[in-house]
Amino acid sequence: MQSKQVPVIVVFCIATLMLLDYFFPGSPLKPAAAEVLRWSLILSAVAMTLGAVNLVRINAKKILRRQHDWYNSVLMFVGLALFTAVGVYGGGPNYPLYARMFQTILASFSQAFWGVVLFFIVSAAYRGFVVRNWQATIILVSAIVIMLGQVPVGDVLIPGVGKVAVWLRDVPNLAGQRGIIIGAAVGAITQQLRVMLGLERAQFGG
Amino acid sequence: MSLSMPRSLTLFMLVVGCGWILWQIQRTKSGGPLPKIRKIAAIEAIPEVIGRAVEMGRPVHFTSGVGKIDDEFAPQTIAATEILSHISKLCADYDAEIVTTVAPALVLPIQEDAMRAGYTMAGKPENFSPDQIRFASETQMAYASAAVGFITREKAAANIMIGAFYGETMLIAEAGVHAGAVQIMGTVRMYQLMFMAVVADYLLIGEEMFAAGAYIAQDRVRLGAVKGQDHIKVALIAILVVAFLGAVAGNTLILDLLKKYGN
Repeated sequence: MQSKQVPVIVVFCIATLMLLDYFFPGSPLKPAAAEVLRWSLILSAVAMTLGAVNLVRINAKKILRRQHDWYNSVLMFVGLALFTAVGVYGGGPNYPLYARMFQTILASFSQAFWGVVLFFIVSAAYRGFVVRNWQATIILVSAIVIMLGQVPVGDVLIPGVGKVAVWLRDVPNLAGQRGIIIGAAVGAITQQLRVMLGLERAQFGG
Repeated sequence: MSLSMPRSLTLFMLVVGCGWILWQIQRTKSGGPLPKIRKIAAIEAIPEVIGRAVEMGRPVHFTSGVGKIDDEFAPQTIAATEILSHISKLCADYDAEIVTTVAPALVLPIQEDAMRAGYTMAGKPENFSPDQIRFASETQMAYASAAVGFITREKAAANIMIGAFYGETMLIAEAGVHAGAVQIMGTVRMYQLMFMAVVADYLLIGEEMFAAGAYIAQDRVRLGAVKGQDHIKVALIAILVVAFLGAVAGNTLILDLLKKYGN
């Protein structure tokens, strides 16, 4: 048996097991399916170790070679060591100091980053709404109608704009979205069928 | 052992659909007519974008988002990995630098393999370095900041974002805009597709992501699968049209069945 056939057989067996478990919820395969899900958690933990090795290797090289902005890598190591030490010492993420560090450092930075998204959406919208062709004109007009429909003053300025906005959102917009979703769902099923039968090998390195 | 009605209907449709696709693959494999896939602008643009990166002496940045390989976004991640392999091959051909930022740790070894396969296909496996694929973090914003940091610092000439993305889309995409990168994007997630539509130079919409593999490889198995899935799509559209016409004529039988068992 060729080495590339082994993962294909494993994928086929596990996919069949999970499908049977989904379609026959009361079947005796339930414990086996639950066990496979537990394995996936273990695999995720192993993959996280690979990720940590990758992170350490790349950042260590950056520091040793004094590459551009190498001091950011030093900060990464300080953060990694600090969180690991406190997490291991406290016995997990529920340790008060660890939770406090998470809230005050990581959560704060994340929230700040989320805040920036608003400004990026505005600048992207500005570029997107520049009238270059008839398609961009449709986007611009639709956007103006939707925006006016969302604010109370819209109906005062242009009576009925709220109803037009709701129609735009619920009819042409939703129809387009559903068309894309149906196509994508059929595409995803086809791809997973190819994966299951070993006709698709991208996930095994091409 | 039980099988509820909605699930039995889904199972029936799945079996019929998969059977049809397999039959089409078999027909195409055994010399049947090949479907003609229309040009996908985003895939056609990749060689040009990489060529531009080489001329500018700047890297190409690729990321497949926060979608994992063991969740509902697995099809998107696998489609992105297939495209990554193609991009890596072209980068190896053109001697362009490509760097991939990864969020889910499980995707790291898979995409590393795909990149290595791309370099091997180009006949330059020795040019691939594992440092070209970088795990950032499974935390969404930490991953986004790593991708933004790379694009901004290294002034990426191309930013390719294909896969399942959440709120980090605009952060990474805007970094690409400010770095002057040509942006190729694609996703199935509707909430991010609208953002991508205004920032991307080339966009893969929904199923185009899944057809891209067949478009690139042009092999009979993938083309047969695309043919089969197109037939199913036509059948689904026909069911919807019949349901609509029936409802207009006052017969809501199909519509009621779809509403009851469609979820």
